[in-house]
Amino acid sequence: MTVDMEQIARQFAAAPSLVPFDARTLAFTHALSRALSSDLALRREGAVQALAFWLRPAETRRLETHLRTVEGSESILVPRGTVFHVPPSNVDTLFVYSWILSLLMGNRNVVRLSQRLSGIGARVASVVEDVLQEDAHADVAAGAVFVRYGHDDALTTALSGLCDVRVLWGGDAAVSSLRALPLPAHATELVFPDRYSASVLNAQAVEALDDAGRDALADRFANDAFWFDQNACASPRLVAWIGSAEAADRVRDDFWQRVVAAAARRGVFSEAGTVLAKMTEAARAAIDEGATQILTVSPEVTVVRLSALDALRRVAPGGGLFHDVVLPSLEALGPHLARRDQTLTVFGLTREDIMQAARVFNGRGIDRFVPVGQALAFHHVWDGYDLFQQFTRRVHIAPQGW
Amino acid sequence: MIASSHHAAALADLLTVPQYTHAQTIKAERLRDGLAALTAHHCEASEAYARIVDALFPHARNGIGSLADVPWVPVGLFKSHQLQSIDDADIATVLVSSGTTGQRPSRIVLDRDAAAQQRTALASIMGTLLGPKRLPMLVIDTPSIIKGRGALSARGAGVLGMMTFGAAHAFALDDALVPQQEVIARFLERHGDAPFLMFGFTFLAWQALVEQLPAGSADLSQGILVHSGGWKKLIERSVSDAVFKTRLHEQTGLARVHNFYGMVEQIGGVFLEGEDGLLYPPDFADVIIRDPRTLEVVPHGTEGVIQVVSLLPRSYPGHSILTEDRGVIVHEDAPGASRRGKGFRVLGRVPRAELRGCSDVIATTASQTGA
Repeated sequence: MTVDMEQIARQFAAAPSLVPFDARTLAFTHALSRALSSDLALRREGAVQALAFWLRPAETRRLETHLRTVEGSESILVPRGTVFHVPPSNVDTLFVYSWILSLLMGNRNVVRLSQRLSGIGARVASVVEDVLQEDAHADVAAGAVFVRYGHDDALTTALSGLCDVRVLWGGDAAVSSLRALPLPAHATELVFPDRYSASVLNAQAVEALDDAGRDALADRFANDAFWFDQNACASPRLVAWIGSAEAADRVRDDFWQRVVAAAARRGVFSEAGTVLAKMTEAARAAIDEGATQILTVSPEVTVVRLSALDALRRVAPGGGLFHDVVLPSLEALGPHLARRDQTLTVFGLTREDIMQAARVFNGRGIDRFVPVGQALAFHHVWDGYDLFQQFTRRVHIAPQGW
Repeated sequence: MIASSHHAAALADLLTVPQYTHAQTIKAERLRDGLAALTAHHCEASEAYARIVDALFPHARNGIGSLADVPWVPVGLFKSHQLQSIDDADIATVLVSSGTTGQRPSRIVLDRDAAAQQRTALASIMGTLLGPKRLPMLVIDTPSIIKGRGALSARGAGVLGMMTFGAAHAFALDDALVPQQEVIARFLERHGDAPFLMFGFTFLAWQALVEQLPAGSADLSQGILVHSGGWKKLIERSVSDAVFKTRLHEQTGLARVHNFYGMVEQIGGVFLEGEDGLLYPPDFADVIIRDPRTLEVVPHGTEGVIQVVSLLPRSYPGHSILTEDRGVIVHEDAPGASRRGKGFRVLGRVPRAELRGCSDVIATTASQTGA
């Protein structure tokens, strides 16, 4: 594919300089929020509506307040310049989050769109394009370039040459091969490779719930798990029951049954290919991870019961394959954590328990603790980065001596 | 040991020619006993297999009530694990599948007995088609396919295995897989007036004999074509089994065409097409069709995922395999059918899971370990 690099460079050179939370940027994000929430094709898409919600004025105001807080009194935060985003090809809405966070900081952006983008993602892209083309948003449009192309190292290298920050999302293999492409000497890079996530449920707290409470928990869990076919980085693949084995045994079969029902309420349906992939992986878990029991609770939910986490391989086909283990405490998870571990969705523990465990884990793994049901809620602190700070330069202004 | 004598007796009985003679009810009982014995044997001999049975089929250790209760192994497991029930020192042959790009091939280990039984089994199946005499054989492939240094490709192994049922072999294709018309003409001059055997991979047979060979240039009316390897490439060209046969007949006069279904992962699981166009298991093997979502056995006539069972795999636990192919059983012990047992069709591959998510690489292998 040929892309006129000089034309992009000229367009960016002529684009007005936007400050963080520029009025023109906010006018655009609010217009985009309205367009996404009123689009007939997208109105029923939870992931898109969550995005539309995140773009509302109330949310962007919160973000701006946060920016002013982290700015501090001795420095100001200014845009980095041009940010080149390479989002994953199969999470429909992620390219918007990556782009908007950078845009809010005032950056110009090049966003690579996959040729495989289809369905919801393609519709979102077309809504974005429509709003950008409105006269009111010409200044934002001048700093936005979307390029749709497949695997093309030469083009990725050329686009990288324009940027001050490169943002790579995707599988480990894809991120590794993209990282090998050169960047300008001054540019920085953010990488979001494969991650693994788990859910931690306090067995006693689950037992204390009534029927409605247990169903609600299962619904929130199913939301985290099945929104992206269990293949989002933050989707739980392991459930660790905190408590005694007896306490866990009193609730876990019931929990998985309720997850099956919750999945059915969401309209989750495993095709044959998914069922076979899960069975194959479950059999591998029996050999390599010492799984003691494999329960096909329904075609949508397969549970691989482990007696210990020592041999956990963190390989999962998605589509509803869950590992299940009992641990005496949250802190007992610590020795089993790995760099790859991203999100812990938690139920039935106090914030103090979690703070203490996070200190004990001390960076061994886990970048995010959120309540069950919020695994996929995007936050500007992600994968250990505060994206606001990554998308800005901090200009230090000495406090005294003038 | 009771288990092994059960298995040996069942196998010895069922391997005796002629094939396709056992009524399904009797066959199912013998298979159940033999396969139950094999399951116990592999649980003893392979720790990996025992773990699968204990985790996935916890009731199997208490006895196996029916053929459908025999534990199965997902075929994809052979791509990540070399499952074996013999000592390394006893490995006589390693069969390697033709893995598609990016996938690791399956590795199947045979000891001397298993390799010999595989030959016997194939002979007893092919005997029903070809008679007791070795027929002159035209291989629809290049001679180079069996000459590779080191490990044979799956295609080469298939050709070599079939060559034992023929004589006076000629290879119809050159290295570019283009028909060598003079070779074919010479073969037909000498052998074309009496029945002769042809063997090739389904797609190659179509490409060479229908697409490349000029119509009417070779008289194959005395030929018996045995072909295998799958329909994927032909489905892409909208060539059905019926079109395949019609065009072959129109262009070459070939009238006897027999597909067979099988996979490297299961020795003895060779399902040959009968005169009625359906595939039939030999007496020492069988097919079971399962619901693609619940994996429960479905009634005949209902499409589902194919499970294959065979009494041969004793050196490795491949006696009961859940494939990734779709199929349907059309009839069983049908009156008037040329063969007894289950007549079935293969309908293609189960489509791969298309899942969303952050990760570009959804296919997983056991070689990946936690970081």
